[in-house]
Amino acid sequence: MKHVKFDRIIPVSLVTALLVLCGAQMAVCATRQKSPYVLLDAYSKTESGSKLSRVRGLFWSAAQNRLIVTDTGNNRLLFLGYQDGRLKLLNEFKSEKMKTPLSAVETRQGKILVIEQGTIIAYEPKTGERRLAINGEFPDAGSFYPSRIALDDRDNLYVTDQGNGQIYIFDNNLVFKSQIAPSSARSKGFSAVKADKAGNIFAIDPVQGTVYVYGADGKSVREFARRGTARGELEFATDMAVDQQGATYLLDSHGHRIQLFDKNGGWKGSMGYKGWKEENLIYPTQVEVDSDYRLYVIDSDDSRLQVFIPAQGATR
Amino acid sequence: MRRKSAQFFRIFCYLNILVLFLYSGSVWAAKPSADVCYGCHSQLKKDFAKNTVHEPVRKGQCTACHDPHTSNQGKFLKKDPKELCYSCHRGLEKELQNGNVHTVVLNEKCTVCHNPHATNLGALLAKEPNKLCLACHESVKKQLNLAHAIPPFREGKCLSCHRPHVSAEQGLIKKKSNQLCQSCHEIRCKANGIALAPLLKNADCITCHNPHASQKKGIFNPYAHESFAGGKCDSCHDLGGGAKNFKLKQPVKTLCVSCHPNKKETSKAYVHMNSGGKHCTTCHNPHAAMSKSQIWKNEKWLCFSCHSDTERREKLSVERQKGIKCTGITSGKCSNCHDPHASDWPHNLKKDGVEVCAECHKKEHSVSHPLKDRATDPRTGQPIYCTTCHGMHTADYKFMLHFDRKKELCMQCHKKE
Repeated sequence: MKHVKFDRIIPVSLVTALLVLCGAQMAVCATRQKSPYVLLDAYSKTESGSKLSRVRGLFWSAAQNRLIVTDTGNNRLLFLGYQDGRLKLLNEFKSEKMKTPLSAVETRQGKILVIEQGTIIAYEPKTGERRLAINGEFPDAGSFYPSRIALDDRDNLYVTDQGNGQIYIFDNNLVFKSQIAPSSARSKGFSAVKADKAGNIFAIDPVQGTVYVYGADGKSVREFARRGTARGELEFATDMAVDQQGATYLLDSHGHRIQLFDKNGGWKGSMGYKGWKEENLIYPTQVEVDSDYRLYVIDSDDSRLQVFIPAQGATR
Repeated sequence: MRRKSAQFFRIFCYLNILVLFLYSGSVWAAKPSADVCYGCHSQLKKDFAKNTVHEPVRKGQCTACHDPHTSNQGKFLKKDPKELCYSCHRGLEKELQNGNVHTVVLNEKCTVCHNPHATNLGALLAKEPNKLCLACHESVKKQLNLAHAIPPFREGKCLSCHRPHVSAEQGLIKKKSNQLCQSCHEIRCKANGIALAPLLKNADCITCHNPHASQKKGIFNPYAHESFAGGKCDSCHDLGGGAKNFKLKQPVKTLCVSCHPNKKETSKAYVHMNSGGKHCTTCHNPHAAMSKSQIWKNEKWLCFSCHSDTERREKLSVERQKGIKCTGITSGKCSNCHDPHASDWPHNLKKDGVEVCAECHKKEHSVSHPLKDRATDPRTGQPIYCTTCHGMHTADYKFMLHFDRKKELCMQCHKKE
């Protein structure tokens, strides 16, 4: 019987340990590479060198095929579009009276609606006309305090109202249509609202970490997602986007990632890791998706806009 | 005959051997008598001659808890103190699974309150209950000097209202506060002469009253709304309908801002979700509160009741750094750095990510790395703030840094230098 030499055991075990470690590292990398989205572009300043500052809103204008960035810190709106496959500044909209714009949308007629100083302002970019957007009376107008706005395909306007803790709906003439109160008594309000093609209304409550879905008639259809740290749970979600197929992209700001849900609210996966380098996210606050399924994400601390596209082979 | 007697003799011998074996076994297995211990620790025997004696001590079973030879625990304890106590007191361990647990119990320090051997007090308490409680609860102790106190508190009967280990109620009280208070006295609250008993039967008394003592008659909490303190209930309530129809004059969302319009803060970029009207009472007590600005409880409790993920991350961060010094965090004063209503800066910081730190760190501010317009973070193309390197609630490394300063912190930006 051959005796195993002790001095050989040590290097062999070291090599084995090293191989195991490498394997584990590769497994971690492989898991990371499975992200369903990859970075297409990053945009932190305009072509003239003016840095974005405290961006509070993103809106994909399907009619005009452009992205509207609410550059709150600079009191302006940026219209971005694609040239040679890269995101470029198409136009910059600034008004002397525009102060602290929080969220902006563009109607099919090209009218810009902006939340400013506790009210909704309508701008006509061609003429520069500025006026209060909402026509006529609506309930609890005295305590109405809009925070985020969204549009659907028919230009119905959806507004999250912090003053009353409800969602207000206005028709395409900006006349009050209806309002939706939270379906959960525990809800402390909504941080974002979106509408899909089918007319469903999505609202997110960051404290509960839950998305409430309402039909066009305002009745509760379903709710999904919850707060937590496990797979598919949200640490503190502040925004969401809904694509053409009704899939939902929930922005988990404190989790530094985006959680992907299908149109029925089933969890599909997540993307993004905490970090400052490109492709990473650090306290992201806004998300938007365009008609080509490109995802736009804004980081809170550095106001960097990053564009992600579906990875090859990834399923939606 | 001879054979029979020989057989008897043999059985007799076997029995003797068996008895001897069993006896020697029991002697061998027997724990050393307490007298062996008292041989050296003679003073203990006298010390243990008290009214209440722990069962193992009374039975002389020193080795039930102590190992006479070696131990990895202090005082030659057989096990970790917590495990040792719960190995007999299993009922209590089970009870702790559900409910609010006293911090001392949570920290597994039974002997802070109990003497493990003998005392002259019940339940082996180390001191009289009130002295024991007030030794830790210093802020409550100070309330003894206030003008008005509830009788059990004045008389030091903490256990009249509180449970010592665990309770389903917050503050370790025995029952819901309204049931507890009403078990001794009826509701005496009035508004402009209208008795409010029917209305307040199920109300939480400690939202307005201090459960121990107060400088104010009626033992109200110290931070009261001006109208409430002045007895002007009709400033906010419509008293016309009597106690059964004691409604607010307007909904909360418009009522508060009708006097406090500045709190609407509509021109700021980051407005706290609860600001703007409806939710004033989520954070503020409209009558009389224990904390400044009439917030329901202390700031940390209030903020973390929604921002539970920040609480979890902060705990991990403090553990990883083995303690931190940032006074905003250690004192639980979230509002040192954050504006609870609205701000122009991300995370509702009161000022930008440099100025807010410089409020305390004046010296460091004068000698720091170039900041703001003087330096750009190459990773993001945006200005560098203190918060670029330091993470207030989530940092992993010493000095609240996001990266190890000896390895990778500087290299994040200075790669080719």
